[in-house]
Amino acid sequence: MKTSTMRTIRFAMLLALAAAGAALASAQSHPSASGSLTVLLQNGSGLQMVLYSDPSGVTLGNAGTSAASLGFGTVGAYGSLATNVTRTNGASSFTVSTPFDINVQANGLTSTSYTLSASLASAAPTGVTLQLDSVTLTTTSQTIQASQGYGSNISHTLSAIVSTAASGSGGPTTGTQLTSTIDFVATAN
Amino acid sequence: MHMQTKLISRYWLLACAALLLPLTATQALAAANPSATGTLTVTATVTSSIQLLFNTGSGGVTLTGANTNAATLAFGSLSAYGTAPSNVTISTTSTLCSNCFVASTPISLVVNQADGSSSNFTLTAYASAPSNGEVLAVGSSGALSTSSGTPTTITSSGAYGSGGNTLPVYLGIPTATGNNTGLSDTINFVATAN
Amino acid sequence: MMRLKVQHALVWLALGAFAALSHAQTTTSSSLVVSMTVQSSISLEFVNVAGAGTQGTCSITGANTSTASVNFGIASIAGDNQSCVSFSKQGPNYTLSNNIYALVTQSNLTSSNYSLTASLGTAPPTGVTWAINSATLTTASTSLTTAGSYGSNYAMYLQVTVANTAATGNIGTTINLTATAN
Repeated sequence: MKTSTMRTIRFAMLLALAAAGAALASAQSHPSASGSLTVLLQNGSGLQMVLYSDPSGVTLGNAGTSAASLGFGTVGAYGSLATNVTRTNGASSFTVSTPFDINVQANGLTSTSYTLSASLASAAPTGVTLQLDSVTLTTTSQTIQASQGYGSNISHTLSAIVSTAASGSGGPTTGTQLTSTIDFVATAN
Repeated sequence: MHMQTKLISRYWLLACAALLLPLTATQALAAANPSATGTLTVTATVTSSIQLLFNTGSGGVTLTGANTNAATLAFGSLSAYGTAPSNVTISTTSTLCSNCFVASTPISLVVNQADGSSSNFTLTAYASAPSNGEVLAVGSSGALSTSSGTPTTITSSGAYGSGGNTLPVYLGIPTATGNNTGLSDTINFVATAN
Repeated sequence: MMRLKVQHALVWLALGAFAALSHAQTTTSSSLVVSMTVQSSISLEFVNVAGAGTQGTCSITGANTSTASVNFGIASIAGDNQSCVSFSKQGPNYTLSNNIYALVTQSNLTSSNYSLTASLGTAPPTGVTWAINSATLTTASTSLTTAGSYGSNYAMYLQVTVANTAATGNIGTTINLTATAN
């Protein structure tokens, strides 16, 4: 074989090697790595109750939660009242009322409605009777609504019937804030 | 043969259990009649209060807006010597004013108390400024003050309750007042629990 | 006497041979050719967020490896039984969220950063939506970043939103991440 032919072959081999090297370098210039994250999650079923201010009612404290507060403010048989508190006067009592909303959401249930019941955590203050949608509340749970749909703000009217008798004569203590807690339970039908 | 039957039964039991397990798990997630709870804390401060209402007095002129705290007493057409309107008494000898005649009619003033323990109330009143020299009076107080700052005390022991307090309202009209002169005056009452 | 001379001659011959042998070893040479091909590479691993276990930072199983898992527990509109999961409610839907780090390291690279993509192993059930850093995940590749820094934890805010229409049962998923050197 001639020397020039040998040189040509050697040059071709070098070129091939260079090309292969370049290809390898190119393949390695964008290496990648992968990982997998497994997330374990079970979707259960449940109900969630949330209390909201009603557009026509007083503004709730902690509205949008399941533990809200409703302040009637200072109430009297004849004086002015807080915004969105209404009053009716009776022979021996007056009633202040305001609406608020309850929204019960459900997931993972075939139930389409719920039963709302309510009770007082402790007896109402002397001279005061609390009513929810005309149901007089006691420390025993009572049904307020038997078939209410999920997912909507349902307006309920809370009323406080206040005796006009003087404190000590069956009437409420005046001048100090009276507090009651209403416990609600929504049960899927 | 008996052994085979036993084995087949066991396989069936296992198969059934395998089928039921996922169902049981799903049912555990979907608890029967789930419930949700909420609490609403209700607060109110009760304050004692009183209310003042006007009612038509016994034998008095019928009030417009009776049983409210903003009523109208219309005496009608008055003259010193003519016929007095129904339920209106005319006096030309009253000491309320000089050179005048006095028309009067009773009203019932009701003050209700709620959540209070006061036993009576004090009633004060003042009249608007006269337009034609007229004079107003309530009860036995004499001519009413026309100043809101120094109202006239009508009574210091008014009785609460729907029975009301009958009080005559007097309107003294100067005899010099022109014929067919319209008069309109306002009496502002304030009841304060004692 | 002659015998003694012969013995001396033999000793000297032996010493001479030893000396000759020693001289030959010091001049012998050999060579070992070592060859290798160094490849650029990067790695990806999942890392716990500092304070893992507190709300919003569930501890992951398989931390510091490329195959990890995290347990979101059992959830419903009423909440989640895992206190480490952040729970929020939007009307009839609920959302669970958690913070996890991805750490990408490089070796023998001149690349200054990397691109990170994510995809779901399988399509989620109806009513279930997965997202990382607000980018909704599907079975197709979704870009999370195109300029990730090597050696620094890449914070991933993992969220799953479940509609009240979603079926109960297992709704977990596998999220595949791929980091590619830029």
